[in-house]
Amino acid sequence: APAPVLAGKINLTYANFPPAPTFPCVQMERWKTEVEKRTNGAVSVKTFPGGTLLGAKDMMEGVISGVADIGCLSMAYQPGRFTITNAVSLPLGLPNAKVSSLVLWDLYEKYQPESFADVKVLTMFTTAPSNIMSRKPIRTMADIQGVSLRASGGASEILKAWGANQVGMPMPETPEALQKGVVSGLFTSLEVMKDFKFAELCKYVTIVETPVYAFSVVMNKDAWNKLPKDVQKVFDDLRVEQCDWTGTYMDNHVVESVKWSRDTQGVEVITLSDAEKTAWESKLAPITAKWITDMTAKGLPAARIVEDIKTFAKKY
Amino acid sequence: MNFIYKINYYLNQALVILAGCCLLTLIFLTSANVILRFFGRPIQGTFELMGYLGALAGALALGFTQMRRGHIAVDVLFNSFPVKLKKAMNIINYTVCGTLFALAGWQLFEKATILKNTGEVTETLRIVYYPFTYATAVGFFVLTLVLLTELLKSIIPEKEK
Amino acid sequence: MSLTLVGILGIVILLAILFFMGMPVGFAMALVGFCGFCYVVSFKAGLNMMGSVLWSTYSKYGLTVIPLFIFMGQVAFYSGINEKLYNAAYKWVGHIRGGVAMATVMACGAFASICGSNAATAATMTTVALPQMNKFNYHPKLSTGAIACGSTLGVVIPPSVVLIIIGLSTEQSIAKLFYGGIGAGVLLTFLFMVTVYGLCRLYPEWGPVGPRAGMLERLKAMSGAGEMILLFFLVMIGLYFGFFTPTEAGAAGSLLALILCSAQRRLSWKGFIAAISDTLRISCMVITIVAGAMIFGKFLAITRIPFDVADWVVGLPVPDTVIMAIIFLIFIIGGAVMDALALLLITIPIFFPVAVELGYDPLWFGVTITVVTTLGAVTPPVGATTYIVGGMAKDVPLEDVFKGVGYFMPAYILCVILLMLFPGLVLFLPGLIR
Ligand code: NA
Ligand code: NA
Repeated sequence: APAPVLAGKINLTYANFPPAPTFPCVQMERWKTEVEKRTNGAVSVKTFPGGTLLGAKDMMEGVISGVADIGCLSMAYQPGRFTITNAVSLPLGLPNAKVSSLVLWDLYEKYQPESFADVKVLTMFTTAPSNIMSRKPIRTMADIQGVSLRASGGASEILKAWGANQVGMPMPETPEALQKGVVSGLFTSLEVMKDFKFAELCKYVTIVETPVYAFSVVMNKDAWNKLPKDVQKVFDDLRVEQCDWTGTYMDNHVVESVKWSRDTQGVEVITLSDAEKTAWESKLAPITAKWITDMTAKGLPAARIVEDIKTFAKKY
Repeated sequence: MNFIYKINYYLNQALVILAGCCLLTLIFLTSANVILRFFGRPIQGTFELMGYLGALAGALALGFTQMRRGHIAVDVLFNSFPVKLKKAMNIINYTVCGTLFALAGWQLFEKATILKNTGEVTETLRIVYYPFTYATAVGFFVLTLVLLTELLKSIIPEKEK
Repeated sequence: MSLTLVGILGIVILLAILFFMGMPVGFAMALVGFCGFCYVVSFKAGLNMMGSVLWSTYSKYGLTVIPLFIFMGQVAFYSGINEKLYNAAYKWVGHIRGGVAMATVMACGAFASICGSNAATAATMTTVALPQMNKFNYHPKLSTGAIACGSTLGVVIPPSVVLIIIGLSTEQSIAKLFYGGIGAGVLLTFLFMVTVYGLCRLYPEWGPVGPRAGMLERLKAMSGAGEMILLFFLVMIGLYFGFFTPTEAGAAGSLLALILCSAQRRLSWKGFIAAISDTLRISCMVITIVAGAMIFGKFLAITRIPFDVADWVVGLPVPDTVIMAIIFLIFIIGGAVMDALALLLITIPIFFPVAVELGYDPLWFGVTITVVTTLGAVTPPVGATTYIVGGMAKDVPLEDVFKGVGYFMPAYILCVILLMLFPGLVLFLPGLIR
């Protein structure tokens, strides 16, 4: 397709909350590069990583009021608000970041949730599935009883079902808390083993592969409406492509992180035996059931959402 | 005028007592969590509650701190100004800051309303937290009231009863 | 008008308001930041930014450490145990020139290293140390300067949030950065003590020499300071064995102090109420300054001055050492007008690759840049630590506190120069692990 010809330069600001090297910022820089390339430099994106412009929980309102034109938000930080799209965080066995990112996008397209009504959604993606990183090996259900793990609030029900304690604390406080034994491990996706050097402290990884956390990139509606049609098309074409790219990047990054942890830090990766695996999974079934009951009571087609997630996942 | 001064005084007295209770709760809750965690039974959600209790302790004391001249200023040059100039500057300061914090209070109020309407809950306890945001807004409105009272005091010379 | 010009104008206006209007520091930073943001983006965006920053700052878990540690200090103050502690310190080091000020610098360093917050340390140590130093006739310039600068040591001496942030944003080992911080922290503490000694030689009346106490007298004095030392050890032991995190240490310490003092009937009801009300007043002042600095920081970020300056330096056709010196200079100036964490978050992703490309050790760069930004915590116009000490030392004019702080500037500069000349000072300890 011929590159769009545009009069005048369009400057857009793009806010993100985690520090620059983390994957939400990596996908932001990739999007910026692609947009600037595909519009022949007519659009210029100024990025603000590390919460320098907007913090994690301030993204939605910040973008709506125009503090930034574009913002990347983590839905898990605001439970109760993005109910439909947050359903991808239920323990439904989504295999990797690529599949769950695409499933998330399908879910958004199908239900067009009210919570995104005031913005233009540019893309969505998820983390890779969470796994347990710990100071002591966790091989059986008995090993995890009463163990305190640093995890986001979204994982609290899952950890409770297994008999562990969820402890919420900021990432920067976690290394010290681990050293002191305030927490004995963490429960999130495995790229942190390398990125945040947790492999130095946690020598064991137990593979449980659930849950994933949802992110979305949203744009101010006025700023969107002001864009020329051909630029809008560039952005629209990038929506699913960016889901796919980010998911794939995340999955590769996790593989690389695990390899590094094994090779240079001597980390042991524990796979649960089949019997254990069944036991762990069976503990999680009531969580989805309870979510369906609760959300149906709130008037959401909860059972259908869960079915859809499973169906979409099979597609990929 | 006296009426406004009185309201201002009692309101801030009440708020600072509330702020003090929040501070003590913060200390006891955190300590209790430390002790109970030692026995393997941490209090779920302590972490998020600490932030909100801290917000109340800080914000509800805003007016009180202003009344006690607790907010530090660089007054090296200012103190050497003639009395009239100082008075004029004070009037500007109280008006500008009063407006700023009225806007801030309004925005916090709006933020609380959004949190209420979207049904957002905390990460661990899954409870609504907009009441804390409303309370923080109250702190800023009361700071505005204190600044306005100070503005009145500096415009209208105090009459002796 | 270009955004850069708007940003520079904002800084100038802030300085003017601070110095000519006598407006409270936190208010002034919030005002200029808010108006600037409205001008650059829109009124609606400015309003939203201010509301969000205020809520997230006031409700930040990381800032609860401030009221918690201040309360601990206030309880110690109103129950009189800090007085006993200083009496003991006087018996031990009072005969040395500037001895009590040196002890205060070390106490600040020890305290700051556990509590991790400049602001909380400055507030607590002013309560604990300043009245006592007054009593021993130390000059306010010396005592406030020592407290304000000593309080910044906590950022360099681990555990340190700044080092953690650097570790996270440059993908380095946090443990190694911590070990590197010890070397730099010890050096800086030593240079502060040398400064105190030098000042007391120059102006003997600033740090009067006390009588030398006999060993028996010294040991006797220790008994009076027992509670404070016990409290300190309980907190340290709790931290060491992982019973609590640094923030929780503030709460645990407060509770322990309350229990100790009420058990001995040291703390009256009146003293208790005064401790709470002072804690609220001081915490509120501190958090307001932090929030103001955050709002002002958002304004500077949207003008992209920090980003533009970084890009400009990277492209300069000058030798490597000059580029590094310019980077440090930018951090010193940036630290003067911005909150250190915000400045690091913006500039580290840009400067870090440059430093690595120039062949500097990433670990060395991380630690040295921490020392440089630490300096920013005491310099005007955005110098939270100095304002806090000044705000609490009611009878010391703020300009005297700044003058006092000024005497410690050479120590910071010398520290950075020494680190540049002898990178081993930073790299030795981390080299032992691995
Ligand atoms: Na520290
Ligand atoms: Na500064």
